[in-house]
Amino acid sequence: MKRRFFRRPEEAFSEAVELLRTGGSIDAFLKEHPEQASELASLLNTVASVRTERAVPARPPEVAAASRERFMAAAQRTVAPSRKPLGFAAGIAAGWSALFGSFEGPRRVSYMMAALLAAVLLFGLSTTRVITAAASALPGEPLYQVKLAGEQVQLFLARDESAHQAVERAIANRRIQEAQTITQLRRPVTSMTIGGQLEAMNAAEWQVAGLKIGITPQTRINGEPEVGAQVSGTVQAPGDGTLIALELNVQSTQRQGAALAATDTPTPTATSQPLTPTSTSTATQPPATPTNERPAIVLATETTAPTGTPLPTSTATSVPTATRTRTPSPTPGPSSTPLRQTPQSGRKIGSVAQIDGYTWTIKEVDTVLRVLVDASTQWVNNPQYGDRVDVTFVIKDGIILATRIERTGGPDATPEPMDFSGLIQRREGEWWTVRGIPFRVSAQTEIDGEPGIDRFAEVHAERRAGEEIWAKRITVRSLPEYEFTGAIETVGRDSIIVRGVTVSIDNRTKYLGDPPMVGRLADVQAIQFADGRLMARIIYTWPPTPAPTITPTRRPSRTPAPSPSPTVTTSWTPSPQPQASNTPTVTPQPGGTPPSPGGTPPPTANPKAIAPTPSTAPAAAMPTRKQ
Amino acid sequence: MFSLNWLISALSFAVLNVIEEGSNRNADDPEQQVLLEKASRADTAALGEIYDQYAEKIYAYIYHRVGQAELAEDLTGQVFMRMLEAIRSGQAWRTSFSGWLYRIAHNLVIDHYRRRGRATFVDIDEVPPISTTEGEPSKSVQASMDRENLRAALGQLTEEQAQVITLRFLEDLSIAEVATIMDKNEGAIKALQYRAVLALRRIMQP
Repeated sequence: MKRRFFRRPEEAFSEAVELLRTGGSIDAFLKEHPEQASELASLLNTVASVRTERAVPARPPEVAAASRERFMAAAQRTVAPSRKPLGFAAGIAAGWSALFGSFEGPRRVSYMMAALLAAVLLFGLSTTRVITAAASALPGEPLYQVKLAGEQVQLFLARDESAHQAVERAIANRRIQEAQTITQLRRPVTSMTIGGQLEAMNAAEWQVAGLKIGITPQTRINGEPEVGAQVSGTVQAPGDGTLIALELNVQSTQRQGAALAATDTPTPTATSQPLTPTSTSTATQPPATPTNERPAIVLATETTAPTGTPLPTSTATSVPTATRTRTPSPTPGPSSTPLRQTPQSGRKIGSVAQIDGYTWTIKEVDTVLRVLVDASTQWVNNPQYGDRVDVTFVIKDGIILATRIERTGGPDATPEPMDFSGLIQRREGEWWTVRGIPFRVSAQTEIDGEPGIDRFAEVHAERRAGEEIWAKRITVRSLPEYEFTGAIETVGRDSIIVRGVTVSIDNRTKYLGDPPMVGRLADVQAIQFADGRLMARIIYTWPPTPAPTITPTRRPSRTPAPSPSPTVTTSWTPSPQPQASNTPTVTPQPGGTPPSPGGTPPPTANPKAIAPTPSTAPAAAMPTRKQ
Repeated sequence: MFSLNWLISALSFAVLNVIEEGSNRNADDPEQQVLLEKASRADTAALGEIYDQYAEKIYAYIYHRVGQAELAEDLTGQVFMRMLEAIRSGQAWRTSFSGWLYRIAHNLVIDHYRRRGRATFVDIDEVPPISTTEGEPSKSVQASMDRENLRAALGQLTEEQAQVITLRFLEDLSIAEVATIMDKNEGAIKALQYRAVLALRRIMQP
């Protein structure tokens, strides 16, 4: 084997490190380079000892999940910036679109030839990029049709029944994900397909596989809608984050059952729909049939959550769809099929948030239900605005009619608004602590700025029933930082006076060097609150013997003492002792100087360069910020 | 017609292969580039995927620098918030995304130490609790001390040296990756790596 020569020691070392990383033979390498073997072996030993510390404690799953949730909530709030220039792949995609678009004019070329040409171009230019662009294309994007065509091929290739069904499910899931993305992006799309189980419904809105889809008079509905049935169709995204149904085809549960039975899959029962408004267990409350005189107002639940309690699955219920005969409409027509619903019943427990004529609004946490009351509504315990109530209702023809409203308790305690500020002391999942006050942060909490431990935050919160405090808005501010040196005049329990300057101390104040004692010199690093109060973050107390001609020395360290070397210095160097002035010298730092998000590293990465500036210049009694 | 079908089939089949492929992409992966392009347009699904790809890596990098799980979690969150802010202001990455993200993490670590007064000492309150339920307590204590000693030693290097040691030997990134992150050429990284290990050996030698 030919021996390699390295012109520089770092190259030999780099080669040896790569061998170490990849499991190569270090011994052979060192034998090849006997003149450097001793030095390289020593350095590799150092590297090996570093690499033994690679393990990182696993993040607690709940903490990681909470972090991700916060990120996604923030991402949702992120406004899409101005569109950047298209990348190469997107450019090719746009070209593809333009190419096909040009075939739609009066001088139309044969579609086949055009497609062939386009495909050849694609293969010849950047097949991989286009393919991958298509894989993540969304409805309305140029390569989306390529993606759909690919799925058809996959369906075609899935010959056996189970594989075919698996592909169908994967495709259906993909459509749902695309629709969710489109609504999140608030992107307008004229038409896209969706499919899935009908989970909840009323006259104005259906919930299909988690998607809320608006129903309009123009919506064509084929088949008899029923919670639990499979629904497919086309929807439109107006660009405001909603979906509007254009056409929906409902597959009857009987047909589903037959299909599922054919594949030996247990047939779902009519009582197994998880999001069906529940049938009430109060057998004494037969569903009232709305009369024709009732105004045809649309009363919709406004959340995706079920409005009732979970449906018991082991008992017979009054869900009327279990025994109905379903007649699917095999030939979807352009005319709108009337929504024929037999009454469904449900139950809602919450507080009366509003009474508007015959409309009562029942609210519970984040879910809202509006119900209509009429002469048939049974009143129990005289429910009033604000009361806790238990509402039983029926749904028919899109109208939610309260059959019974029972007052179960008085109004909830009104949340007490709270405002407080201070340093963020703790962040564990949804629990934060600021100025000793623990509170909860939810996805609805507005957070301005970049929160972090020891950062200053103003919290607008509310204390709810149970004394729990929930943050509604958190504003994180940067506080000016100061550093100064002087003699300790007073040491108190909550504050320390250094050269006439009172600085508060708390349990997060770090003490370096000796314990603070009157008469000693101390370096103080502090932050200043909006009211001018200084809070010490670090207090370094000098040794008792002052050294008038002292030069910056190494700060004490708890780590093994490094060997003396002129090239190794500590990163926090105390200021030299001032000579004559009794006035503190202040070296403020403007608020943490956050780096630019563009990734430009700070001018210097060496902590030594940002050490407190020694100064003996006289100054005012109070520290002033350094510019 | 057969030709068209064949072409579409071939193309579509390739698409589906890509669709069904795993998500472990590198920076040169065209799909990754598409993902990043979508993320740069504030596509939430893409942002979520990017987060999933990088959160653990960034957390590990920061943890190795600060040695506290809670703080590392906090700073990791800030890294991604800055990413969103950069996207919102149209100042997102222009070349290497991972390099850009690691630089944000690096800057936040530097900021953290600035706020702390650049102290490189190990405060007893900040040493992670030592688990006595696993292994021998004496070994756990020794391991914890080794970890803290290493972190303290890294604190005595220059920032660039500490960064290259962390990225190369704790994060196990290649010379090329580190060069991208630190915005230097590979030769400079090799030289920096060599000097960093020399300095580290000097500090860690008893």
